[in-house]
Amino acid sequence: MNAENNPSSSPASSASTPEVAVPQAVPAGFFGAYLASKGIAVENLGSDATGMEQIRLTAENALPAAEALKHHPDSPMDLLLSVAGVDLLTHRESVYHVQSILSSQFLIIKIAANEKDEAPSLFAVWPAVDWHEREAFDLYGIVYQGHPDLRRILMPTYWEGFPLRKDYKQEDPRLVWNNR
Amino acid sequence: MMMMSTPSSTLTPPDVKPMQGVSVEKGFDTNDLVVNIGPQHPSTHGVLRLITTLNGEVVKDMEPVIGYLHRSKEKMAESRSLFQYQPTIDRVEYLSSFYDHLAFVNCVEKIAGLGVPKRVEYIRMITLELNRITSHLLWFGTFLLDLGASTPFFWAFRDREEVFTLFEKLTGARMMYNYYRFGGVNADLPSGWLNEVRKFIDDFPRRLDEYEAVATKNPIVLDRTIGQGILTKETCLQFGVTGPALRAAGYAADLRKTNPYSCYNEVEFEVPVATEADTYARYVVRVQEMRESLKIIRQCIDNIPGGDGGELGLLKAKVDEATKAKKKDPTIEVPAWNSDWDMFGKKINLLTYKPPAGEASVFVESPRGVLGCYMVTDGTPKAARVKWRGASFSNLSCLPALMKGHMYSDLMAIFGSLDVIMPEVDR
Amino acid sequence: MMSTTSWITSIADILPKLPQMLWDWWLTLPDAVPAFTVGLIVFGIAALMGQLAAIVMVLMERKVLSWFTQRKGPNRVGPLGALQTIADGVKLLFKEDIMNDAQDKFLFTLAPAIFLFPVFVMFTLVPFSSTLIGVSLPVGLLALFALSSISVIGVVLAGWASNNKFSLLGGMRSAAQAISYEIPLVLSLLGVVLLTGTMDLSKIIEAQRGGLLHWFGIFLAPVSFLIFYTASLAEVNRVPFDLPEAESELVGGYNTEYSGMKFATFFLAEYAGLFIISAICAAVFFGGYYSPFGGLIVEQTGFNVWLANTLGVHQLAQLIPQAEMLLWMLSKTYVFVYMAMLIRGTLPRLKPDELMGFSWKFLLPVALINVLMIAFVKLFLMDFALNLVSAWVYLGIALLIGIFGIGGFCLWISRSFTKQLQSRLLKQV
Repeated sequence: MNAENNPSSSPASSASTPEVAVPQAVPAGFFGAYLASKGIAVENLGSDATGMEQIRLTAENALPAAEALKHHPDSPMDLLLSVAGVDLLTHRESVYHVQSILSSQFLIIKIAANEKDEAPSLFAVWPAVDWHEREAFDLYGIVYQGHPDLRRILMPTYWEGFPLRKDYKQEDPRLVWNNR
Repeated sequence: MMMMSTPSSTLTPPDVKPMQGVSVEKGFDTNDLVVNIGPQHPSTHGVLRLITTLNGEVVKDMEPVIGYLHRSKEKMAESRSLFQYQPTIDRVEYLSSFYDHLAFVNCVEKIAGLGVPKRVEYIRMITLELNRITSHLLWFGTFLLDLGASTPFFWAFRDREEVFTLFEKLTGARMMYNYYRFGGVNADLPSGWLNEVRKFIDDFPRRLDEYEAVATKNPIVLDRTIGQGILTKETCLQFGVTGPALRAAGYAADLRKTNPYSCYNEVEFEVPVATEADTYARYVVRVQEMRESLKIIRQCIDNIPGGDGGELGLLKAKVDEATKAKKKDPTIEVPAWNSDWDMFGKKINLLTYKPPAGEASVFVESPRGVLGCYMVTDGTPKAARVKWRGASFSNLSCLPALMKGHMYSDLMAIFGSLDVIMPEVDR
Repeated sequence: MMSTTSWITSIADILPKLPQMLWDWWLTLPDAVPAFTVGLIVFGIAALMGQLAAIVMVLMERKVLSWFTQRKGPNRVGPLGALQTIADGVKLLFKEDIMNDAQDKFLFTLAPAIFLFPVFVMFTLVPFSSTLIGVSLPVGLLALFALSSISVIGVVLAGWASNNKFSLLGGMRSAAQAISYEIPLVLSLLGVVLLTGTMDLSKIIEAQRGGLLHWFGIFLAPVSFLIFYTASLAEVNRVPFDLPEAESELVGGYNTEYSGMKFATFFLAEYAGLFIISAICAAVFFGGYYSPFGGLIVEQTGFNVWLANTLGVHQLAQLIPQAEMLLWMLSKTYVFVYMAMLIRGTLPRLKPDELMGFSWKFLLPVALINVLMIAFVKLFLMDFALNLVSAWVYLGIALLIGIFGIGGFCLWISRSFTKQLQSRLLKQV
C-alpha cells in the first residue's frame, strides 16, 4: 500500500533488460597469454581434468594480475566462486576459482603462501573473497595480507590449530582419524 | 559490531536518522536494541545466528555468525576412501543432495577419465530436476511460512513427499540418496517408475497453479515482497551470489545452459530471468524454474535410451546369459544391446578404487546457485583435498548489506528469499 | 460437656430451621454483599462459558486448519479427537512453570491474569438470549470497548516483565496495534449507535427483530461491519494481524517466555476474545438472537405454545424460544469464528508499518466517512418523511460523498501500489 514511500523501491537496474550469457570457446592458455600481453609474468599450469585453465601467480603480481583479469575486455572474470586452501606439505596454497558470467569461462588461480603462511588477499579486486578467505584462514592458517577482517569463521574463536592442515593432530582419544 | 569488512553496498539506503525531538541533553537517551536472532530461532532455517542492531524496528546493522553446523566434511574426506566418503556428502546439503553427488562423482570421472553411458546421464538428469522441484517446494513452503501463511507449507510438503516416494522407490532413501556411482548409478530404474514420474509431472502443474493462486497474487504477499530486498547485479558480483538471486537480478546465467554438463545440451528449456532484483523477482524466478524442471523431466522421460527399466532389465539378463553361453557355444546369438543402455561406463571395484593423481573442479547449477566441488587426488584411494563450494555460503554473506535500513519484519522475507540452507554454509 | 445423644438431638432440632436462619441472616446483610455474591456467580458462569467456548474453538481451529491443509487433525483423544483440547489443558496444567531470575516475577505472574479477566467479564455483557445475559447495562457497548482495552495492558506487561527482547518487541507492537485499531473499531459501531440511539446490546438486537432486511450488517451499515470485523481481528491478534506473536520473527512474541498454565491462560484468553468479537458482530450487525426470517421461528409458528399445551408443561412456552435464541446467537457467532479461521488459513501476516498505515490511512478515514453517511441516512431517510423530495436529494448527496469519498480515497491510497502491481503481473503472465 505504501510502496512508494520505500526509499529502495525504484532501483536503477529495474528498467534494464536481462543480460544473457554467451558461452565462448577460448584457446588453451587464453588468460595466461592475455596476462603476458599485459606484461605480467604468470606460470601456466595447463588445464586441469575438467579443462579449466590454471595459472599460478606470485605474491607480487597477484593483485595487478587479478585486476587485469577482472577487466578483461572479452571475458571479464567478475564472479569469484570459491577460495580453497590446499596443504601441499612443503607449503600451503590458495586456489581461487573465478568465473566470467557473460562468457562463462572458468579460471583457476593458484597463489602459494610463503614460509610464514602469508599470502596476498584479493579482497581489493574481488570483495566476494571475504568469507572464503576467512574460511581458508580458519582451516589452513593462511594469513591473507590486506584482508580487512581476518577472523575464524567456521570454527569457534577459541579453537587452537588449523584443522585441515595435514600435520594437524587433535589430542582427543575419541577422534579416530589421527591414527589412520 | 563488525561491519567494516563488508563493503558498502550500492543499494544501501541512507543511514537511519535518529528520532527527531529526542535529544540527549534533555535526559532522554535512546539506545539501539541488539537482538540476538538465533542460533535457535523458528525461521533461521537451521542454526544461524544473526546479531542484529535495531533502531526501533529498523535494522541498523547485522552480523551473521555461522559455524554451528560445521561437521568437518572436508576433513572427513582425508580419512576415508572416496567410496566410503560418498554417503556422507548427502549431508552437505540435504535438501538437494543429488547435486552434491553429481559434482563429486563428476570430479572423480573427470580425473580418471571414466565415461558415463547416456542412459545414466538421463537418469541423473531426471533425478536432479525432480530434486530441484523438491528443494524449491520446501523453499516455497518455508518462505510463505516466514511471511506468516501456514497453509502453503503443508501443500508444498504434500507434493514433496510424493516425489520422495518416487526417490524411495529408486534409491531406497527419502532424503539421503547416495545413488550415483563413479561412471554410473547404483541401480537401474524400477519397472514402471518412469510412468509414475510422468503421472506426477502431469498432475503437478495444476497444483502449482493452485499454490500460485494462494500466494503469487495475494496482495499481502505482493506488498511484502515487491520492492523489498533489492539485490542488484553489482551486489551479486560483489558477494559472489549465484543462482536464482543472480537470475532475478537480470543475468541469464545458468550453468546448465552455458556450460552444459550431463546431457543438458540435448534438452530444451528456458532460463527464467527477471530484472527487478527484489524479493518478488526471486520468488517468481524460482516458481518458474519448477515449471522448467518439469519440461526437462518430460523430455528426459521421452528420450531416455532404453526406456523403462523393467523390460530393459529382462533384456539385460538375457544378454548376460547369452554372452556367458556363447563362450561355450559360439553359435548362440546374443540379443542386440546398445552401450548407451548400460548402468556403468567402465566397471570398477568401488571398494579398492584408486583414481590417478590429478585435480578437477566441477561446478553444477544447484537449486541454490553454483555448487562446486574441487578435488585433488594423489593416487591413493583417498582424496588429498575435497573442497565444497556451497552456493548458500556466498549467498548468505550478502545478507547484512541487503538488510540495512529494512524493517525487522522484512528480515525473514528477505532472508527466506535467498533460500539459504545452513548445512551447506557450514559443511 | 454434652453427651453424644444431646449433640444429635440439637442438630436434628436445628437442621430443618437452617435454611430459614440462613435466609434471615442474608437479609440482614448490607445491600452490597448480595449484589457482590450474585456478581461473583454471574462472573463464574461467564468464565465457565468462556472456557468452554475456548475449548471448543481450539479444537475447531485445529480441525478446520487441518482440513485446509489436507490433514486429519487431532483424532486420537476421544471420539474424532473431541477431547484433545482437554488433554492439552491437563498437560499444560501440570507443566513446569518456568521463570528465570531476571524476570519481574510479580508482573510476570500478573500479566496473564490482566489479559484474561476482562475477556471473561465481557462474556457477562453479551446477550445470548433475551434473558440469558449476565449484566444488562445501558452502556453495554461502551463497557465492552473499555474492557477490551484492558487486555492490551496484559500483553504489554508480559512483554516487559519477560525481560526478553522478542517479548518486548511483541509487547510494543501490541500496544501500537491496539491504539491504532481501537479508533476505527469504535467509529464503526458509532454508526449503529446513531441508528438505534442506544448502547444497550439487547436494544440494538431488538431493533433488528424484523429479520434479514433489518440487520445492520446487510443494508444499513455494511461498511461498518467490514471495518468492525477487520479492526476487531486486529484487537484479538488474529492472522493477518498477529504481529505481537509473529512466530517467524519474534519466536512467540509476548508469550515467548511463558510456559505451563500461564501460557495456557494467554491461549485461552485469545480464543475467548475471538469468541467475544464474533458474538458482538452477530449481535450488533446480524440480528443477534433473532432468526433471519423475523422474530423467532417457534413463536411465529406457535410451536412452543402447542408443545407446552400438549405436554402440559407451561414453562416450555417460555423456555423453547429462549433455546432458539441461544441457538441462533451461537450459530451466528460460530460463523464469524469460522471466518476468522478461514482468513488464518489463507492470508500471510502484515508488516507493522503496513498495519499502522492500513489503520490510520485507510480504515480511519473510511470509518469517518461512513459515520457521516449513516448520519445522513438517519437524518433524512428515517427521521423525515420518506416521500419528501428533499430527503431523496440529501440522500443522493450523501451517497455521492460516500462513494466518491471512499472510492477516491481507496484509489489514492493504492494508486502507486496498483500501478506497480499491474505492470509486474502483466510482465509475468
